[in-house]
Amino acid sequence: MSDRELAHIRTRIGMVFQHFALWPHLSVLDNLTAAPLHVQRRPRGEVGEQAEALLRKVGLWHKRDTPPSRLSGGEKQRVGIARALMMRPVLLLFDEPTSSLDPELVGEVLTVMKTLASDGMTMVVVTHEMGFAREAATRIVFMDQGRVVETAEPETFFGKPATDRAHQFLARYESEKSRTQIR
Amino acid sequence: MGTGDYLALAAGAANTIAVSVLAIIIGAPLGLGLALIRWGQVRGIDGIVATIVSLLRATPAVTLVLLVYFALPTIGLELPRFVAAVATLTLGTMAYNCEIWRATLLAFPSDQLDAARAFGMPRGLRIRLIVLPQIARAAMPALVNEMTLIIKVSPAVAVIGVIEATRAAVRIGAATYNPIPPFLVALAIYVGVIGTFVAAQRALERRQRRGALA
Amino acid sequence: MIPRGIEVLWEQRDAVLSGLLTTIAITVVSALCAVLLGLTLFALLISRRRSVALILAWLIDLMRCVPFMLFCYMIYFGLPSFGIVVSNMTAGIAALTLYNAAYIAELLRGSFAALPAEGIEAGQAFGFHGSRLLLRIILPPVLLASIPMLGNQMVQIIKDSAFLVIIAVQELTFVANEVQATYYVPFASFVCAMLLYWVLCLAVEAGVRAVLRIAEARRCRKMPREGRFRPSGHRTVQILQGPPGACGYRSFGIGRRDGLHSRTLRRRQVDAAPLHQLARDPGQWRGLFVG
Repeated sequence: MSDRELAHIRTRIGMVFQHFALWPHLSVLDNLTAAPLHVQRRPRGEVGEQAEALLRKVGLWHKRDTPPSRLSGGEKQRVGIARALMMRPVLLLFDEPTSSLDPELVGEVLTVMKTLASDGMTMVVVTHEMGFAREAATRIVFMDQGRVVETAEPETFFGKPATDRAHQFLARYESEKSRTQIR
Repeated sequence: MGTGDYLALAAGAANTIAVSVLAIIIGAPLGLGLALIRWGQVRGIDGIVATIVSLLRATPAVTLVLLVYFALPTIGLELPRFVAAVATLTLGTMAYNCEIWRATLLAFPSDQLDAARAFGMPRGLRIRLIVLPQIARAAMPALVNEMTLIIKVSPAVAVIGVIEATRAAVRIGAATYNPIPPFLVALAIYVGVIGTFVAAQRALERRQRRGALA
Repeated sequence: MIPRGIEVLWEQRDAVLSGLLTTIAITVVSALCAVLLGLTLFALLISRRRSVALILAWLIDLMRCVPFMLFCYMIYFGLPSFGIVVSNMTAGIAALTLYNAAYIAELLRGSFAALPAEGIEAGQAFGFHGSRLLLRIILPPVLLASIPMLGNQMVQIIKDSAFLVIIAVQELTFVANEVQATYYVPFASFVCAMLLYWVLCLAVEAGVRAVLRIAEARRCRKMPREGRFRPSGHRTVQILQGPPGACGYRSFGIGRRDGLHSRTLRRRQVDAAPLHQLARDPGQWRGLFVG
């Protein structure tokens, strides 16, 4: 596949990165509008309006002119999600989106993701948030050492996992959870 | 190119190496001295040293060598060619070395000095035992880089008549009306010498990185 | 001795000035060409075609082992051997350009290697590729990080321009040498040249500082006036949206977290909304990204 074809496909797939991957030389607003303007070649007015609407939705319109280095982790991830949504993707990829965040902010990002999911967006999420995976996923793919070990519906996977490895993993997870349960 | 030409080039290369090595040997300690003076932050001297270093770093080697060879006799300091050449390169490298050492000194973790002071070490002992060994290691890559720069600037001394490698090559080329071969030989000489230094610098950096992780 | 020198220099100020202007002209032209050529070489250095990148890297390494004076002679004496006849000024500028372009390419590559790879990955994930990726995603942070070192390189070009005296280009050192040879005022002449080079370098340093300031200012335009910060540490945002009504300003149903919901406030200050409240009404998101 040529570079150009690959790039074209990539415009239809949105991606949210673990470490945010915002472009440091662009302000928040420019981060959102760069790809739609220069890759998808959409008209400036439409792109600007969509960017404004999305930024207001994530509550960061007042920071549209700040450079990413001045944002907190949670803010950066919100910008990352908004940036991915700008491309009107058919599929959203999330690479451990909450791993780098404070526990307080994790819930917010997960709620946005749940809303996106319930709205019909196709999403592939790499995550360690078991609760979120259980609630929001239509299918769980369990991987170990770079190989797919098991694929199942959430109820099946969490209730009665088929493979030993998955069983072991869930057992350890449950014991860890109960151990660190806040009494 | 005949054997005579090769010998002339070899003599030129010897001159290049001699001038450069002398400048390195004399210039590095002088640069360190200047850096320590600036680190000491004595009011008046600090400004003077800073100005001199800035001036020397901004002056091209050719201009400086002409100044040293032609202008100093007018104020009574007459130097033979070779000495003037070495003096010029030394002045240049002294200024750059000062900056390198100073940057390393400024990046030196101050808590070590506090510990040394807490143990009652006098200033000289502090510098000798604690500061110098560590900054020598830290500054080494930059210093080796500076050494390659001296060699690259050394052809400037040709303008006052010191026959170093480049000048020898030009002379041979002018005599034989075939400038390319002597240039290629001179090129090989320089690449060989500088390449050795660059390889040493890379090896040092690698060792430092490994040492830092250890 | 010295007062006479100054007198002579003042008489010859036209010559000295012309030498200075020649130096400046040579430096500016070579610098511009070297930067352009260096950017092109940099683009080739980081290209994914490994053979091109490796050969180029090797050539640049070779170039960094060559003294500039030798390179200058090679260009000056070598070009006629290939049938290209140019003036000594052109040969000098060509030598300066080629030599420094290699250094600039290496310098940019160093900055590129120090950059976090994520931004470029994100650029590719969003469909940037080829020249668009280079110009919009890779180059801006690389150039921003390289500004001080590019300034250093400019100073190097100024100093290397003095080497052109060997091919009889009438730049500052050449003129200073002529003056001192004619009027026997070496000290004043060369000290004057030295001071003028110093002034040029200080100008470059000041230019670098100015460029850094401008770049920083452009990156962070002033925050819009609507932002208001409460000292307690909660950030509050005045969202000026919609017509002022009896319930104050409407903002997509965002309320204060503590529930003290005063509808009669004329200017409602709301907390920077927690996402779960924003996301309460999924209908708002529709149409923004689906389809």
